[in-house]
Amino acid sequence: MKRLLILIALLLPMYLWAQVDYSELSMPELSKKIEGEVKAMKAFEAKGDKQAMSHSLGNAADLYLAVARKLSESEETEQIEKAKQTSLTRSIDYSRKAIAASEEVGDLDQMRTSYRTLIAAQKLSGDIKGSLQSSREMLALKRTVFSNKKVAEIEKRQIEYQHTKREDSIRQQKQIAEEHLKEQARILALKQKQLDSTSKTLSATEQEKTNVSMALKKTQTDLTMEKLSALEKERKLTLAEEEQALQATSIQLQNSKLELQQSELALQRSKMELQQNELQIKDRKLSNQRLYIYIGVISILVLASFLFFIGRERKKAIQQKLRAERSERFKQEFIANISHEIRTPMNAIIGMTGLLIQKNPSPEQDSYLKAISKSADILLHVINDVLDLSKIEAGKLELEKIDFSLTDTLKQVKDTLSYRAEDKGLQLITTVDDKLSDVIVGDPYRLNQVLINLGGNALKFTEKGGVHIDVTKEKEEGEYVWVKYAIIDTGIGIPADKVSKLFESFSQVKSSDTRKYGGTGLGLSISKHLVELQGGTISVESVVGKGTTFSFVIRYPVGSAERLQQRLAAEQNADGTILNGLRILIADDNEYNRLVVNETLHLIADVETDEVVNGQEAVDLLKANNYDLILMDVQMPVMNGIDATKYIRGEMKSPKKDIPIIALTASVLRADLDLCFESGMTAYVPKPFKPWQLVNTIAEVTGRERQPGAPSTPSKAQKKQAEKAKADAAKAQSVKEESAKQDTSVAAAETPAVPASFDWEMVTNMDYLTTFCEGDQKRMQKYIKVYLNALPAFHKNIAAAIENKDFVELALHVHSFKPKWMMMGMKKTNDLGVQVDHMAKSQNEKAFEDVKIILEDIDKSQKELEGMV
Amino acid sequence: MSNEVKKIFVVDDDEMLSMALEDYLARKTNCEVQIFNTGEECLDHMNEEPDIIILDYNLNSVKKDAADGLQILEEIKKQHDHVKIVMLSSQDATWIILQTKKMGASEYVVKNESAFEKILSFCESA
Repeated sequence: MKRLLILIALLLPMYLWAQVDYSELSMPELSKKIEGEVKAMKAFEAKGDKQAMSHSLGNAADLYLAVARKLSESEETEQIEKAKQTSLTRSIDYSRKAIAASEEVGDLDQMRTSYRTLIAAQKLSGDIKGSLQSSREMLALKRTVFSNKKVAEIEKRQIEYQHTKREDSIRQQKQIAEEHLKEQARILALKQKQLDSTSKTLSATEQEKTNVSMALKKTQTDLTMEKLSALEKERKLTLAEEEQALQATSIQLQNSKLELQQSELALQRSKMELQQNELQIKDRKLSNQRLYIYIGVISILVLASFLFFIGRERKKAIQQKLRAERSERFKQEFIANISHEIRTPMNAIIGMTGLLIQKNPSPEQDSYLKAISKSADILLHVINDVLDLSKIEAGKLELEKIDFSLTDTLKQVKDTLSYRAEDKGLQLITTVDDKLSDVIVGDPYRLNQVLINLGGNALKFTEKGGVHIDVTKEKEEGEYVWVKYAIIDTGIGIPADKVSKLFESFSQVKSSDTRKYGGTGLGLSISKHLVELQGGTISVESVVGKGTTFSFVIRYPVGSAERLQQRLAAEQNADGTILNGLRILIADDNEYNRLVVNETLHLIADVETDEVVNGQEAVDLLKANNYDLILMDVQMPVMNGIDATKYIRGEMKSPKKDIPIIALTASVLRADLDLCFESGMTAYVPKPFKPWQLVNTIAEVTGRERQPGAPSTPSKAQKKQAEKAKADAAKAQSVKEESAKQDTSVAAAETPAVPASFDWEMVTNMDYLTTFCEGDQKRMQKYIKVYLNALPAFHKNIAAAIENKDFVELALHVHSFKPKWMMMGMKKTNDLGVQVDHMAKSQNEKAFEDVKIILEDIDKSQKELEGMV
Repeated sequence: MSNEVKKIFVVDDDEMLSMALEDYLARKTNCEVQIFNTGEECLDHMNEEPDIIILDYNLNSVKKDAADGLQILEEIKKQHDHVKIVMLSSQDATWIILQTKKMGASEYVVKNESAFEKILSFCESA
């Protein structure tokens, strides 16, 4: 290595010396010389001595080139760059003049010298094309001159001998050049990877490289032939030198072309390398040439490894990013899958245990069954924890806003936790401040979850004493009440430095705690998120060895006991008999799940059921028989529930295509449910389900009587009255249509503004607007006006969309009208709008048909509303 | 909550919705509410220093050449980072929610039955 450095140090001045004959001259000396040459040139011109003039011109060109080279060694400023370019332009100019002059007098030596200067100047000025052109001209010149000369027989042997010698040296050079090419190719390949270039660019570059190298070989062959004649004439090695220069130019051209596509850095390095080659040739120190090439190869290797390193780093970064994105997606998919995979068998376990408990088991069997049931609940609880956390992280967890009783919720919490307290011989006390209004509006399930999490946690870490869940009124203002929850234990306590880590996912104070106390480590993290979602903040106070208090405050609107009663009645009194007589098709690939659904249905109602194991069989059976309803599992082999629904909705004829389809799905992820609805499913029931959920959903979609007291459900009297009025008004309507339109007919019967003789049902309902505007007629009219004013444009846009078969426009305009239908109480139109929107988005031609019904509704609404403003 | 009257901008190209929201917020809070049907108009009034902006995600459904909600969000955040922005949208795709949050939206409300209530509770707690 040291030797090599010394060698480089020795060779460098030689390189510089050989590069320019005038390089040892200083700038003032150069400019003096230029001045002299220009004077001489003018004098010769005046005399008409063209030969002498061409020499002077050539010298001046050389001098200017030397100046430019000197300038390019100095610091790169704009001024210097400009001066350099000016010198080069002059050099090129004089070279051309010298060539022209020497051509006139037939001075080939001078022509060649000037050509060389010209090529060098063009190269230095960055005009690679120009320099190539000049090289060609020079070659062409030589060809013309030499082709006219005859070969002297006597000198042939001598020439052949020299030729052989030269061929050897050319071969060597070629070999070196090829090595050089290989290196360039390697750099190119690396950089291509790094620069993320397309395979097209790559192959194009490779192609070009091949072309260039082919061209190079060809040129070399041609040149060799030419040189034979040249040497005969000249008897000197000058032609070899020229040939080498030309070859070097070709190599440079080829390299430059490659490099132009590559980075600036590589271009400069390669240029240096090429200049080195050129220098060596000019220097005629062929013995040293190899060493120079080696230096070049080494520098290329260094460059290549440098680029390789950069490329690898960059690639690494990209890979890491991709990996992170992939892993996030995998996480989501994994959670969705695991949720499904666990919930499906859980459905069977919970469902069948429930069925067995109802079949009069012996006391012993009953206790076993209850143990199974309890364990299954815990397992379900764990999977729900994981799902909750993923939903919270994705911002997808939605809270309920329903009336609920605080004392009932606390009782449930106590019931759930009491056996754990009893097991450990601990006291469990729950107290609710009697100054609190018992019914509030919020999410009882999530509150329950938080209290059970925190309470369970407290029990887990308490060995003696007990746990107290205390609910008090913090304050009450207007319609709102602030409720404070405190979970106080006499347990082991938490060290102060661990409190901050307490709420992180998968965190327990000590990892050994997991083994000792069990749990997923998610409970506190979820509780914190849930409390925050409800607008509160959890705080912790703890003394090691004494106990811990978790507390939080949540604000609730004060609720209505009446509404609570209605909701509870709807949930609990699920009277299955309202489903009597229904023909139901159950499609599920899991036989235990089919059994659970089937048994549940037969236990609560007198229904007819058929079972199939996939979507295809469901479709086939629906074609053959009549059903009132399909209960459809989503994930099934052969044909899944989504595809089966799409087929039924898209391919079958009415009335079978309109059959209500309830998705039975173990997935609770929003995206999966969206898929169900998009395919045309009517409703969904999550697995595992409670009997009342199934009953209520079936009752809802089949238009069976709803649970008494459920909101927005018309009373029997109202319904009868409406039906009677309708029967009088529109006898022509089919029975099916009537049942489908019952809801709106009630609105018609209730709105006194509508004449009794109306032969259509009201499409608008002012209930929402009235509530929204608190009965203020003026404000209501303002909204109605906005609605009416928007109608002409809507008509026009929809008509245009239909005419142009433009799904995008159709979806857009229908979608953007939804808030207006909502305000005008046009629920049916809005529902239809949602469907048309979906159909249009999935390019379903039916959208263009169904939107016409919307347009009819719009016309009706216009007539209904115009009288009001 | 401070005693100062908060200024809320509602930016939505659906006039019915923006009107209703203005009406709703004006009645339920003591905030000053101003509505704009395009994001550009809102930007023109940023010197009035609103505290909260309820910004529709899809602002160019009616006027096709109008800037969309994300562009406006980005623009506002560039100049007035302290303004709290509630993104209002009928889209509920997680990636959109995350994207708007990443871009600085304080809240993302899906246009459904409880949208107004959510906006209200945000405005009250902000």
